[in-house]
Amino acid sequence: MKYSIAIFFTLTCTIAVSQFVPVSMNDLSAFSQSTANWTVAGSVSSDYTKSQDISITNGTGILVNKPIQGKNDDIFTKFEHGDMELEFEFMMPKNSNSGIYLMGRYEVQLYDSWAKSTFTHSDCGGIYEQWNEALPDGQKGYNGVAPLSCPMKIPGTWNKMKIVFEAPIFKNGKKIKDAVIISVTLNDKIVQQNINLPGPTRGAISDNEVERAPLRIQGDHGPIAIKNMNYFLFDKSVKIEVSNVKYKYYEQKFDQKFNIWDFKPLKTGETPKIDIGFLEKTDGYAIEYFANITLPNSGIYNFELEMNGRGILAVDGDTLVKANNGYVTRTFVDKHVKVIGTKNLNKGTHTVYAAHWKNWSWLNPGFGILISGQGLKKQGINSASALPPASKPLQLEILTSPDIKVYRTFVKHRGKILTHAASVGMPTSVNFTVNPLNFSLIQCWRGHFLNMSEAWIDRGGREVQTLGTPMIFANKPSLAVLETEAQSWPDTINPKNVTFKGYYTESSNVRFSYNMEAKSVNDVYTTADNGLGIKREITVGNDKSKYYCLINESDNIIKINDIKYYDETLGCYIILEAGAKALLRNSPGGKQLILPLAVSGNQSKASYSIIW
Amino acid sequence: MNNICKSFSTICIILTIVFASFAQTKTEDDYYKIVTLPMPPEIIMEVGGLVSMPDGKLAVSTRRGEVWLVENPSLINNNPPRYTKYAEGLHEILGLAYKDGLLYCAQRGELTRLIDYDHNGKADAFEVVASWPLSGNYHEFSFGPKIDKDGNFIITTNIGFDPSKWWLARSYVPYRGFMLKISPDGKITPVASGLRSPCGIYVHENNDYFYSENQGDWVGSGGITHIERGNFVGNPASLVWASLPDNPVKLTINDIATMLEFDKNYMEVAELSELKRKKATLYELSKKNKAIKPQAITLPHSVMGQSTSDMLQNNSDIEFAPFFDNQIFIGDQAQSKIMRLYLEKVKGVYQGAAFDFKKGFASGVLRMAWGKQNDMYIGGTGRGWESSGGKPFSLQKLVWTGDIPFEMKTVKAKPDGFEIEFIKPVKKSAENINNYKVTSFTYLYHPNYGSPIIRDTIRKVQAAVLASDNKTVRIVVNKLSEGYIHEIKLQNITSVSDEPLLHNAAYYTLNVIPDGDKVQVTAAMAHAGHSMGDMKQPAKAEKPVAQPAKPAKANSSAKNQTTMPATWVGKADKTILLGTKPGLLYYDQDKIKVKAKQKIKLTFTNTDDMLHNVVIVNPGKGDVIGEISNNMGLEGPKMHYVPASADVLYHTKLVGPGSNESIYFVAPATPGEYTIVCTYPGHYATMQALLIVE
Repeated sequence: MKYSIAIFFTLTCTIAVSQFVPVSMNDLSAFSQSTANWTVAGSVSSDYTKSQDISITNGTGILVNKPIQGKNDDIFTKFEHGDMELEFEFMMPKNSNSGIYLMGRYEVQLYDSWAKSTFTHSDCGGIYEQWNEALPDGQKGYNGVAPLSCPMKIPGTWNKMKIVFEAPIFKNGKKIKDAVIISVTLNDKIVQQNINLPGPTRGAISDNEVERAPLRIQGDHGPIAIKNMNYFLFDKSVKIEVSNVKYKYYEQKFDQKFNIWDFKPLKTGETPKIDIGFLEKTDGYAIEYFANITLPNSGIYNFELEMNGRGILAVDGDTLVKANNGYVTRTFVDKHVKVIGTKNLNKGTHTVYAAHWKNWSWLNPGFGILISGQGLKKQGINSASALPPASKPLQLEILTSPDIKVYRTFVKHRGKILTHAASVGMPTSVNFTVNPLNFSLIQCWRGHFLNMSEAWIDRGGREVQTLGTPMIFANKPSLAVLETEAQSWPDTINPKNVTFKGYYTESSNVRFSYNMEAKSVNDVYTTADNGLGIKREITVGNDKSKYYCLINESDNIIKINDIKYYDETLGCYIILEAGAKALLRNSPGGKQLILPLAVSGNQSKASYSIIW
Repeated sequence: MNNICKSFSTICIILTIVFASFAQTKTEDDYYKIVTLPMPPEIIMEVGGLVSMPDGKLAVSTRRGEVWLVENPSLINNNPPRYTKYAEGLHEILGLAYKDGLLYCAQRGELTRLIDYDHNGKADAFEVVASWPLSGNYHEFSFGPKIDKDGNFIITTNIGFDPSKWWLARSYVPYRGFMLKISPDGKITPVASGLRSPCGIYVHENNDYFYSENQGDWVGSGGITHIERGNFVGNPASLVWASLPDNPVKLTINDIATMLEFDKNYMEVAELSELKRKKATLYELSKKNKAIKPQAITLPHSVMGQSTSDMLQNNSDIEFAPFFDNQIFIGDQAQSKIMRLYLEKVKGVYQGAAFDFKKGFASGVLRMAWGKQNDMYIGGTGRGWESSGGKPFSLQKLVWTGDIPFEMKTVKAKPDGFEIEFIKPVKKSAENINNYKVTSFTYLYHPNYGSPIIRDTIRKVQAAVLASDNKTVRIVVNKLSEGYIHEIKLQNITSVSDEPLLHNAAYYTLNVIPDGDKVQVTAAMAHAGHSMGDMKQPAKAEKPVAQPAKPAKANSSAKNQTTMPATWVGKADKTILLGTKPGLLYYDQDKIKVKAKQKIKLTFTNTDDMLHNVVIVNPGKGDVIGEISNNMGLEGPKMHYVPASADVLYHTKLVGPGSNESIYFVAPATPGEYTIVCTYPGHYATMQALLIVE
């Protein structure tokens, strides 16, 4: 019991040790010999309006397929893989097409699916069809799997992908288990899950299936750039053994003070793995676990607690994880806590002590200990049912509809709640949020409109979520009078000088109306380029002042030409009216793109589009 | 109208005489019928605002931010109503008004005018009349607008709830916890502060403003308060804005702390129920500082509702309740009912009586509006705050059957007691002083959530004098005290046609004792009981000034053992920790297993923001005990809503939000599935669990 007291005063903070190995893109040495379409580059750009456009600058760090006259072959890694986690970034020019062939055989499609709303197996993140020439036309392709969604960024912008793959298993030369795509994640959204691969997909390097083979990237269907590629090879058959799992169960609530040693357990027992099946109630309990684990290799291991509630983890008497879920909120979404600790351990058997307690009745019970490292894919030493249940599906969704929708809700912007936000959903599936307290455009996203669950379930009244991944802009006033072009942009607006007058919906636009120091301001939003973005036109009753509009403040905004800018941080283009001139300047918060309002008659006006 | 009244009452009297001998006791339903409006199942009509339009349509706003227009809400010719969505996407609309041809609504942070410029039946313009700050707290509701006689919009604003001490309300930004007056051109004028959860607004004759309040921290019980510019009405959270130049309330938190003689850092110790402070009522504080305004009519918590909502003055233009003149109907969300208020002004101060009127609505009564067909519309919601009606939302109407109930019409304060006016002539039993029981009581003004009933005293009725109209009785009580609520309970009083009273209790909030003639009490009056031929019960011995047994004070009783019995030698066989699922009216467990005769320590922690208790009853008796506790009246709070019943085995006292209580008991010897039930009114239907004795 002294041991537990020691735990109480120990605090640790660790970062998980990565098991990933980078694929060098300083040159092509990581790859087998290839045709001249493959090269490395220092930077890559692509004009989203031009088919298969790709421009590169000299340098290293990026693998580029820039098609050439003649042979444009695929490229293969020198490393071979079986079970693997793979992560990389890729840039997909307009109308381009490539693919990642796992083991050279199973293709996860890479494709320019930007701004599409329906998807097939040939869209980005799709699992390509298998093919049987013997079948009649129209039936030759089969088993293709479309992605669940396709949150692709505009051509010219980097996308992120992560693939978890398990190779087929063979016994005496005979396949006894198919290869499996455990998951494909595109721009942080899971787009494929647990897809069994009965055989190689169309265009495989070979029809036979093997235990290990190189990774292959397609090169013959169009340009692509890849960077930050890392892989982790694991062996799914290597397991951590758990033994001697004993538990002590208490019906006791602990809050600030965890003095479990002052109490007697209500019951004690043994379980095959860490489990919570013996719980007699769903809250107000505490459990201590004592177990042995046997590790297959020596080295640094990552330990995670995944739970609802609070917990402690010690390995060989050394506290690795002490966690709580901090801010106690009242929401219907169950909150998971995942905390990581690390420890260097020798091959062999070690003791594990864990304590877990839970005081919040609205969270479902759940507790698991997950271990990774030394070639082990993350695995639990708990029974699968012990983990906290996944968050409840969120249901109250407002989808894209034939009418323009405007929703006034709380919206969270970089941690701060915007209390008067107005989100607009266009029939073209482009959506955006404005903060009427300072004219600013806060975010825009593509896809369906809003998830209202947090606002409408139970007591509700919380911030709503967007149904697509939003691009977040600065919450700074959109409009200001600057005496000189060097004058800094105001962070806030004096509410006495600005009044939000309301908004008006028409068939294809929404007009937000303001008064700014007795001048009327109209801020009109429409869909741009048939749904590729939004267009904003801001008009001020002229009083000869020098009005400017802040388009965005961002880490990096690049000028492409006089009326075309690229926000590299967000991945969107800003297009000005012909003849307009914007000011791109540095500020403490990053690059600022500022557009002067042009005087026309008795009005000042500025207009731009955001394409993403 | 007069003629209609008379003819109706004549018919009623005849009917009553004819059927009196075999008619069953009449209920509210015999006089007022609730009709549920048919509604397509896809509409989620969580009513936040309700207003009748001149063309007969009903406009309804919802907590999900929609505005619906309902055609033919009166169901003329049995045709169903037609629903059209006029607007959507507004921020939790908790009020709707119609002015000069347009609809106005209060969103959380904005008063908005809705316009349909292209006349397609759907609003396309959402114009801001005025906007006010919010912090983003879920509890920052804004109610209204109601329109005053000068065309101003009246708004009330709820304060936020602390995210961890969820029962503790705070004003995070200016104007939370205020009544605001907004001129037609959008200028905001703060009128008063100290509001906590001000769901109802009412503009009375002479343009006087009232608002309704819910029990909570610093609010002992719900009620209505007359608001004048500069008033502070009770919850100090909004006093943090005392220094704002346009705030007419200059009182500070320090002033309150000084008056109550405790540390001004009370906010941080609000959950310490033992905090040392002077015991006082808001009325008593109002005598020290003119800005402090006590309630005009208190609605005793759990007896007259639990979460007071909308107010609506009786409408003499329609045939709905001509016998109630211009009285005020007031809704209750938690108890799904409507009550009735008689308001009078004595020496310039509003006060009056509350009566029950009609219960049994499908969801929590939030809004009421008059229809065009002699009907009242009632909009309800129960999401997040369950109501006894049980439905998540409802849109209903109430219609008069034409029968006139036998009710107390008014209770007026008199220099020496009260004058009760009945709707119908009464029998001579009304002269029997034993047929009246008057109890005065009040509530503590303190940081805790709610208050026990304090200083409850039975006031001896010395005389009951029936006026020559046979409809008015003066009762004389031995001592009247200002600043007290008076429960006036009647028994054995019938109309001349032998009808019993439909509701037999009135709750009069006496802020001011009027001047005027007193009744000369004669010996004969004081012994009126002797002359009463139709008296059914012998006069009970007058109780001394009551100090009823208070279980709250008793540390332990057999059924509420709060210390470990010495014979247990410091050890329970089993410890049970019970909590709640906040806002949902459920315990956090549905089954608890124990062994017969086990020594049990049960700790109930109230993780909710309402009051709860834990009552362990015999198998299958949960509903029975729950129903009894729902009807305990003023006795309820004193007894922690635990009925004196052999079926009650063990219980906790009422446990406030954030508090806990441990009880010790020996599990029953007979195995079975015993029921654990919360008997706080309105809770028992869902708040049950099983104590399985093995």
